[in-house]
Amino acid sequence: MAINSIADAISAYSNAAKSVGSGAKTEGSGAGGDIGTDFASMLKDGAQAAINSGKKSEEMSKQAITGKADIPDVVAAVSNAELTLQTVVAVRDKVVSAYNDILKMSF
Amino acid sequence: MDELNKTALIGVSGMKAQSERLRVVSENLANADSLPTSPSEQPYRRKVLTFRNVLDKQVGADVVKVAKVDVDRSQFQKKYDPKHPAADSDGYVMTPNVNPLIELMDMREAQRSYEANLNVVNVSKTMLSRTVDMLR
Repeated sequence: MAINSIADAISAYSNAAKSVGSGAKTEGSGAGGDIGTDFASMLKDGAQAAINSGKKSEEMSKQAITGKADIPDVVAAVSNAELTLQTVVAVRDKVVSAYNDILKMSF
Repeated sequence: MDELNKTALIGVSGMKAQSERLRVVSENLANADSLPTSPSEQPYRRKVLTFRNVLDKQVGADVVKVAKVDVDRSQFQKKYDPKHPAADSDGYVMTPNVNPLIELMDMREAQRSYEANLNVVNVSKTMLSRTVDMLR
């Protein structure tokens, strides 16, 4: 029973990672076999989103310096990039700490 | 797109519209004394702008855009100034149809509306970041 609920917890995390990372393709088979690749792809997608919005904000800043963009647009793009990065970092921290908690479990 | 992100973008569109309004107000105010140089010319004509709701496909909601910067077709005012080069045979000069008091009220309205939109952007940003903070 105890083993079962741990496996359930692991598969719940694996599913959570899948729902966040759109790059995951395989269906979870119950145990944590896919969790490494899913977590990696989730991180990769999140980081990619953060990089993309960061690039957009830099592009807007560049246009603002040359007088082509409006300040409100720049502020919106920069704060969007900031928030995306915050979200990715928070999710990563959360999943890593969950992973550590699982590692520390004594069977 | 996230609803709160959409909210911020809609607020930004309002801010942009209001800054364009302020630009038109400043044009009107600055040109309140722009007189013609000869009797055949006309003085500065006041500009008015109209806003319009436009469906932004990317946002998926109605944002505000400046539809048109048009002119105020009301009558020019007249001032008795026979020494002015643009004075007509009776000694009157046509002056712009700009009322500085109206322009100043319009400026205040643009400022308040800008602030209202700014607050919407701020609140949506705060709500998003407080939600993300729940993960910590």
